Amino acid sequence: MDFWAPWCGPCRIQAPILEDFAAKVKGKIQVRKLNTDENGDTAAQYGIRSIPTLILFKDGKEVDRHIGVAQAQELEKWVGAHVKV
Amino acid sequence: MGRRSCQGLTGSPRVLKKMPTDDLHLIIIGGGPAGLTAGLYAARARLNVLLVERGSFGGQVLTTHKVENYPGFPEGIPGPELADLFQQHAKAFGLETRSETVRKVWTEDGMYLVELGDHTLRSSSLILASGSRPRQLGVRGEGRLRGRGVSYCATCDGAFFRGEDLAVVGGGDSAVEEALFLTRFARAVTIIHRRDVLRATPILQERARQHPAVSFLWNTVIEEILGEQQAVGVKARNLKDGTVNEVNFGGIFITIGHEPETDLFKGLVELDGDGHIVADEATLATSAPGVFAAGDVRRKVLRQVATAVGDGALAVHSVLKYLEDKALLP
Repeated sequence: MDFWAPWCGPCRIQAPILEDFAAKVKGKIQVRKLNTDENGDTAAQYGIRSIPTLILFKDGKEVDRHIGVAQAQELEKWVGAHVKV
Repeated sequence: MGRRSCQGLTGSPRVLKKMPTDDLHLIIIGGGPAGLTAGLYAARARLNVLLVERGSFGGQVLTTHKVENYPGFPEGIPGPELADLFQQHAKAFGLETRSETVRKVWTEDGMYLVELGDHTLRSSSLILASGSRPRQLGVRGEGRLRGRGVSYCATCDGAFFRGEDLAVVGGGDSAVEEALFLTRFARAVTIIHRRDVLRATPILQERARQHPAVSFLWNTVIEEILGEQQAVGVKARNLKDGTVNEVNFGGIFITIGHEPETDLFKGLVELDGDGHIVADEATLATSAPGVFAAGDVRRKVLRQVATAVGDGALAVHSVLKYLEDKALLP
């Protein structure tokens, strides 16, 4: 889950990287986005303090989070540490 | 690497048409105001140029709430908007860019090699415009809680701290600007400064002192940032009487200056004691022939958007001269 907002510059870098990644892992991993401006309560509930924040959920539970932009290789490595990509 | 990063340079007809190999005239490292201005000038000069930026185009302008001292915008302009305009302007003249991290830069046979994620580019010249990064306090808890209550950018993260008590560490213009900005969200903001006077511009000091939500902790340094999953406060030491107190804060914003992004360039060009690139004021030439430095990354008196764009333009002028002298231009 990508926590982002329209005014966040780094989020604009993250978006296309995630789109590429989503296409690559289609059927195995769902990539979702959450706009923190429109969903402030949800962002607060997850303790988001900086964006972009990526949270990796497995079987509905948070297993890890990545704060700041994750470049393509970094993203694959990070997700790969928890899930077979 | 994703497909996205494989497009661009080698597949570009413009590059292949002009040069028999993948060699470039110029690689610009960094996509802030200095780098994007250099890119604009280089694209208009019809150089085979590539700009590499690892993060967001616009650099630190992106984290500025409002730029009030860049000419042409008498009402001020939001930093991200100005960054967007810089990028659009350079791209309008055909500048090619890559969102990738530079791993290594070195020289071989009079050419410069720039290693990216999965391959290496060769260029006759370089403009180093990698800017600077926020300085860290270097205390326990800081790295672990970064993005979890510890922030280096109020405009980026401030909105996630509604109704909370916040600390801003530092005493310069940025610290006071950030503190004032945070009063939009926070219940109260405390400026923590190691001395008993601020360095900030008088007009900013006045605004802070008159603001009911801003208070000060003088002669105080942070020894540790406290918290498990989220920052909950700081351990602060008073330098006058030596007492140490734990103070609760929902967020800690650190604004104690910047340090240059020059780790990659050690051994390539001369750096000064602070790590800034030493460049000739008249040409921006560094100690390595064909390598020029622009913007905050170099040793200079004033670091502003207005001075960074001047550097970008001048650096390209010097690159053109260098390429001409080496008979590298068509």
